[in-house]
Amino acid sequence: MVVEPDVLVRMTVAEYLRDCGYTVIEGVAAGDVWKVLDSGKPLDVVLADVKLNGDLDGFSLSRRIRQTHANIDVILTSGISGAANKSQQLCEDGPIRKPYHPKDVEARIKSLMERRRSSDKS
Amino acid sequence: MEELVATRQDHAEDPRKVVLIVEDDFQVRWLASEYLRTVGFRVIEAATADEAIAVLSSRTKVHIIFSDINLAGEVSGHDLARWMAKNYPKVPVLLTSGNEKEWASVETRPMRAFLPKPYALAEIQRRVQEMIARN
Repeated sequence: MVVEPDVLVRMTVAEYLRDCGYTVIEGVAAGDVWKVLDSGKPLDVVLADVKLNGDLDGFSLSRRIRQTHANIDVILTSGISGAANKSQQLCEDGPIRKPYHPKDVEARIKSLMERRRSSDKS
Repeated sequence: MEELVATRQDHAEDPRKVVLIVEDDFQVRWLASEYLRTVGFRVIEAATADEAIAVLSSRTKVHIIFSDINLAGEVSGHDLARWMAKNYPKVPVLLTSGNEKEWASVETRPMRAFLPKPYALAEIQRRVQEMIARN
């Protein structure tokens, strides 16, 4: 699921990931993620910007997902300087800095899924 | 952002028709978008009319707009339809609303039509295909 308030970025990343074969749901606010989860639709990865519409920012969204749905990987993106340090406390790999190419996101998703497969085996 | 723009242009050869959905209710937008993708459209999702205008202004090819009338933000679906008539007169606009008072207020024109909510998903597909074909 791509949670990104900038329509041009969201459209581009979502389209790229769909072309790569992923099913992509688009949201603009943290609340959209809970609506999907409440519907019973499973999510594997949430790609969220640090700045979101609504009350919760990307950091809070990430924390809540980790607390309640540990099986979902979270990737944060940020165009804000200084967000990297805060994000690295939440995500081992740190945020993807804007501007980024969608292939960087796909590479991160692949790496997270591979890591999850490896840990499932062990 | 230049690289992101370059990626968007890769769709120039894509034979699918492009529907720009403008809907501020996440679940309605999600459901309608997913459905239209499964029946073969390329779908761009906008949560507000301003987002739709940003998409169109980025020169992204759009074949039809399917927009709610009552949207979050200052620009309504009516305003968007008027903006389209001025700036993209050849792109049809299908408006929708669950508010019965709005139903009579839609000016039906050759490039503008109305679909009342709640709608069957297959009905969106039928109306969108019809409007694109007529164009």
